[in-house]
Amino acid sequence: MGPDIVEIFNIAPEITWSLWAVQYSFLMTVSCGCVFLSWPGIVLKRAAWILPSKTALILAMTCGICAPIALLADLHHPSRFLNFYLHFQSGSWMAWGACFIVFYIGALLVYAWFAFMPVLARVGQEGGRYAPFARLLCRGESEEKTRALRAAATACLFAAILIMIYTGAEFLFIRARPLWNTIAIPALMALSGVAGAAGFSLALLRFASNSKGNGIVLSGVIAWTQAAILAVVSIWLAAGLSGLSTPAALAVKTAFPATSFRLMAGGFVALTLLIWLCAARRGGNGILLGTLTLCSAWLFRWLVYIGGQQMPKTGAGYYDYSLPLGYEGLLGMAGTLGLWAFVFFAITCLVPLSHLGENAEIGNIGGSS
Amino acid sequence: MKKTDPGAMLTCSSRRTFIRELSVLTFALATAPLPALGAPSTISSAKNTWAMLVDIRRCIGCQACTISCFQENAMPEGCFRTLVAAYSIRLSEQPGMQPAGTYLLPRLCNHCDKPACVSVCPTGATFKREDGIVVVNNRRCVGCAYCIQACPYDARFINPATNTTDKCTFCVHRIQAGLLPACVETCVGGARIFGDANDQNSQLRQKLRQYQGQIRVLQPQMNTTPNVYYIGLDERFQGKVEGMPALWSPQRSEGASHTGMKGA
Ligand code: SF4
Ligand code: SF4
Repeated sequence: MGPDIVEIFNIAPEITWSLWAVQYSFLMTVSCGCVFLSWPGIVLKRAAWILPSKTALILAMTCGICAPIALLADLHHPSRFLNFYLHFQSGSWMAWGACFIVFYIGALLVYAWFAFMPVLARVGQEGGRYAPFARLLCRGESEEKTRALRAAATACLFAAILIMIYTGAEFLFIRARPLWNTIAIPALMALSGVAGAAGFSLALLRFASNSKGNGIVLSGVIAWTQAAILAVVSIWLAAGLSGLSTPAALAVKTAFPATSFRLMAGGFVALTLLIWLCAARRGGNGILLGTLTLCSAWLFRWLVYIGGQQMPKTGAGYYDYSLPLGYEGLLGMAGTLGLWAFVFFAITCLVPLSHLGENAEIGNIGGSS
Repeated sequence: MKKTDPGAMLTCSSRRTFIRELSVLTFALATAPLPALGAPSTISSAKNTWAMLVDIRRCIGCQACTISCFQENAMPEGCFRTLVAAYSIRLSEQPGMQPAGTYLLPRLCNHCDKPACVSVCPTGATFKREDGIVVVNNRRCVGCAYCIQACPYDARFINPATNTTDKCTFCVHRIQAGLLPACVETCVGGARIFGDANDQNSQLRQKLRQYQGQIRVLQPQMNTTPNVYYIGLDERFQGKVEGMPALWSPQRSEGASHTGMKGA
């Protein structure tokens, strides 16, 4: 027997938070996750964390600088971005987010400036094409800056927490989209952001050091975050299937009939499980493990942003969406990657990965040169 | 607004021309909004709360409202502020009985009293006027599409010509000129009734009183308090419709896609 209702004519709304929004969320939460990971080594001075933390801070900067550009690209009228500040609306999470981003980027750059001052001083002393810039940037170095580093790191950590909260809240309060209107989304966003940060740092660490031992702490973070993601997904699914939580039940009911969503969600869970097993067993450096973790963080965002918008609010069925080839899709991804690579290249010219090792004592600003 | 002079039509010299002109006139009457009796005579103010009642039983699915709105508001191809969704429904399995029927549901912005779109807007570009109409200031809108996500009725979209959010305005420009919204003006079945919910003598109020108990709104569980009411709204169509997805959608038709038309 066929369906009782067949929709003959209706509109299928466009996906309005496109790939650029996915890229923004990915870069921003990974950047915030990197700030969390930078604390143990740079601020708390835990020996095992020194190199992973410095690597994470480099990534926090590169991702943090690219993220707002991806966000601008997601606006349909990017040239009007100043309206976020000129007509601030205190009732909108997005308006607060626009302010948090500025605060975060500012605090991050100051934090990184203080943290990498010894490296800048060393690059300045060594000479070379970028030495004058490095000398210019590390000017004014003194003992007192240690306190300033802690202050900037604290401000940056606070801003990163605010960004994580707003990123999740932006979804949580959208009642019209059942998949977003659940507390699991902010939790998973934050966890996968930290996991992505650990994965990215782990992959990059290979280029900063040949010592396998340096990545153990990051593998540990990956293992814990993947376990936590699996736990949250299981609880959410159980609450949804049993009907214990109304929003979760509604989300499951709306999302799961769609084969493409089930496949993607299943793929994400399988990948998380695989990463967890690898991270828990292996330890040490791993470009593959790091890259897989990074891909998993990206896939989660695609699932939430695009998958959420593919579920009709009023219409029947599930809207189709495939990655376009143009700048809204594949070309956009390549563009973001290119932008990130450029920023990474620019930053590592002044703060080379090879200088992040033991010789440059982060935080010991007065004794660097 | 298109104006047609019927007097001039009747003086046409040749019969062929007259018949040709008559068909044009018939089409124009069906689609182009003309001033009608009962149009609100006052300029909108806080005293008014504009609302609409859709009597689904009277809708014949001609889409005259869809087309007149499209023309009146100069919509880009593939964009609709209102349209009549059409469904085929199973009626009976019994031999000899009518097996299936058509269900029509005119959709538009509900000009909610607690609009989900307004509270999320980061720039205040979307706001609710004192007369209840929810509008978008498209000189301020940044096109972030947050309101599009928040609206439970899929009433909003990005207009590719302005790169800002667009939606039904109850034809606010026409109301201010003392006219009815274009869709109401052209509704062939008389299914759309527009008026001031504060005016106890308005046709809208009278109908709302007359059909009390049969009046429904879309997605009541969203607590948005819509100002578009329906008579004959089957509860299977009040929220997300469970059924086979659309067989035809205007955006998917050739050349009508506006995906990717973004820019500063
Ligand atoms: S129907 Fe949607 S766009 Fe219209 S007022 Fe309500 S929430 Fe806003
Ligand atoms: S798209 Fe425009 S109207 Fe909608 S929330 Fe963003 S700024 Fe406001």
